[in-house]
Amino acid sequence: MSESTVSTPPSGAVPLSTPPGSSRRAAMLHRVTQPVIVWVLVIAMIPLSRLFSEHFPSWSLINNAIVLGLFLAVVAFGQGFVILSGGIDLSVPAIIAYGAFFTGALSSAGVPTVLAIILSVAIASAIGLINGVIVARSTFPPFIVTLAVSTVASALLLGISAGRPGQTAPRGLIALFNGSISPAGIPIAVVIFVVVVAVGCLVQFRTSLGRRTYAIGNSMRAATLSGLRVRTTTVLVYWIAAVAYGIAGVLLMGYGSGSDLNIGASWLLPSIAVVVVGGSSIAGGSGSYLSTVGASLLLTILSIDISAIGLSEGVKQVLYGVVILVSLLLSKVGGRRQ
Amino acid sequence: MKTRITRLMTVASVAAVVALTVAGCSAGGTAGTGEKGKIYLDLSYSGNNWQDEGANLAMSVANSPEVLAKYDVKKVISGSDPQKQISDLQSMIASGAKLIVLYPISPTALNPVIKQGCTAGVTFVTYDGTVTAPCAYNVSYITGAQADDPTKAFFGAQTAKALVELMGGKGKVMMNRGVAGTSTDTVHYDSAKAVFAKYPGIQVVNEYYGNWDSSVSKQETAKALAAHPDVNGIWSEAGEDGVVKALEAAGLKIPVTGENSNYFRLKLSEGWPGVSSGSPPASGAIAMKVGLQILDKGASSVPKDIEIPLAWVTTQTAKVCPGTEFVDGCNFFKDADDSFVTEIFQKDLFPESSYDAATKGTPIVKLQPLPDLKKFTQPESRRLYTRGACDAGYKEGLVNSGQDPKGLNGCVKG
Repeated sequence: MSESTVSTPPSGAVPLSTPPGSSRRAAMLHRVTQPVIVWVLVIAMIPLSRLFSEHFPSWSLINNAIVLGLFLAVVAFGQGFVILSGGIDLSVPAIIAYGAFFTGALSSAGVPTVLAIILSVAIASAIGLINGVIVARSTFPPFIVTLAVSTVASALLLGISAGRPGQTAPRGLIALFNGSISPAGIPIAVVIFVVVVAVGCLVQFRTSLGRRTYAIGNSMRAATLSGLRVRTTTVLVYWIAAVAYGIAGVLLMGYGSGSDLNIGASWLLPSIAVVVVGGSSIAGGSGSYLSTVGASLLLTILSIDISAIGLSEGVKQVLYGVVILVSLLLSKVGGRRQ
Repeated sequence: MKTRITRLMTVASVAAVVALTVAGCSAGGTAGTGEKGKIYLDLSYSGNNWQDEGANLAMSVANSPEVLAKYDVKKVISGSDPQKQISDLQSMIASGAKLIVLYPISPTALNPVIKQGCTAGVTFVTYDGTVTAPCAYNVSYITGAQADDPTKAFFGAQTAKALVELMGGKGKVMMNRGVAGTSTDTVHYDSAKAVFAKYPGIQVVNEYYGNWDSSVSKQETAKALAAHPDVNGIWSEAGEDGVVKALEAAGLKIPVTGENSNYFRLKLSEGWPGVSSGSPPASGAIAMKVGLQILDKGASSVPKDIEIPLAWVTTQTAKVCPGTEFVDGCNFFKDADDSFVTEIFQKDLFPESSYDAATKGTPIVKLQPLPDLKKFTQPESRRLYTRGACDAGYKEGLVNSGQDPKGLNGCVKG
């Protein structure tokens, strides 16, 4: 035991001053407390929104936060998974556009809605597969790989669509978001939100893929040495992330009941922001989807609040950026105290 | 060994690049003397309905048999970066273009390259957006007036006035703006605000940017509605179909003014209070026809500043078309996408349009000659908005006559 400690390889990243046991316990604690901090903030934000409008807090605020937060939570599951593995994914907008475009195109061509959705997500996720294979097989940084792949993918989509966007979304999909379906008075979008969170947590915490992703993100070298199939895992991570973006594209298609080819453009930066605000390490290896979901709701409520005070667009953006910085600081302080 | 191979490869690739450049330049140099003249359509972003339809309609004119007999026609997509459009324009000029019809990304950034092209004998015609370079022809609705009354100008002002009337002169208004920082958004917004300011009973409670996109407009409207459930009317630029959908989801039915999406006009025809007006994709085709007439009959046959009249469809006049033509006063289509922009015809300037031309770029079989364009000349008082300066003999000032609303900034004699 003591021998193995002494023979730690010189390149090992374990900080020598911290006993390994307590650092692991701290990490575990961090993993539990981080979601608590974020969710306390979310719940505190609801009454605090009174400061921004006399009509808040209201059911309409919560409903909108969940519906708009749903898209962010789905996208951020994919981005969070990639970041957890030590990468970053810039192909979010392109893959969302594929999911949205093909859902409309296929269902307009007479393909049944459910089949159209499955096919679209499959087509969209192929881009993730390409991302994953190149990242796993090369030594290029993931942000360059995903940027290059998404540039090619967007150009291809422009060619396939001949510049023509926005087929009409299938009726069933539109119905998810226009308030017409609400079992037991609960809007169906809220039900989808709960399902997404449950599935996301299950994949991250309860599957061997999830655990392998944590391992790779912590130390690629250690994971390789311990015989983990690093390449296969990496490919799967990017593929699953792309499945999430594809689903987000399908949902956005239903929400907007049509889509421009740049429908995904506004989701890339928020997807990274919520992962980090949720306390995940941008370098990979630590983080929890539960916190990411909380952060999605937090930032969505904030953007509704900021919208409510009717500031000019420039000031809104500044405020939004400041809020992200502050919550980052808070989550860092909260994390360190453990 | 390895370094020698690398060095060899470097030399070879440099040689290849040089050879390609030389070949490219000489090809560009000789093309100008070819038997057919070259026409280019240079559009900005592709992938939303408006740009797609505008480009399809322009190409449907350019690909008509009579034009193809005389010219080679090419379409180029420049994206949303002015630098890219500048370099695209430069290579078009170098290849000996006779006519470039373009959707300008910036009103000023392209000026040097346009000047350079004019000197080389290229004709530039812009559509929808405008450029301040004096040698270019602008074809735009931005300052346009209602067809039946040329004094009722500016989309923003006219729709704001209509909204106030629908609201009975008082109440809370939200504004769904376009893309922040664009000159088009500024003109619409400023002229609308000038109208709202005249009514003490009108209170603008929220403004947001929908980016001329229905999905973003729906999201932003939903957010704003959460904070202002008691709003009485929404003034919108393009993306108004998203505004209406957000209102429907919130269970509100209040007056909306916006642009020309198919869904909005459908809702108007079903009794939703509002007005549909604004930017027509037909302007792409009209700009192409203007350019072709300049090549054909000379520059003096066409005014430099062409103003397309504002479309104007209300709850009372919205009417579905039985087929794919604007007949019997109908003004939207049964099977089009929700965000399909309906203004693909212009009764005087582009009556030969078709739904297939707008959606697929199907060539127009027989082009109609343009009428006398004098009637469509932009009044000097509104040049400030599209040329950035007043014509000789005019100076900047408040326009108080011949235009409703009065008191807007513009050009006055003196």
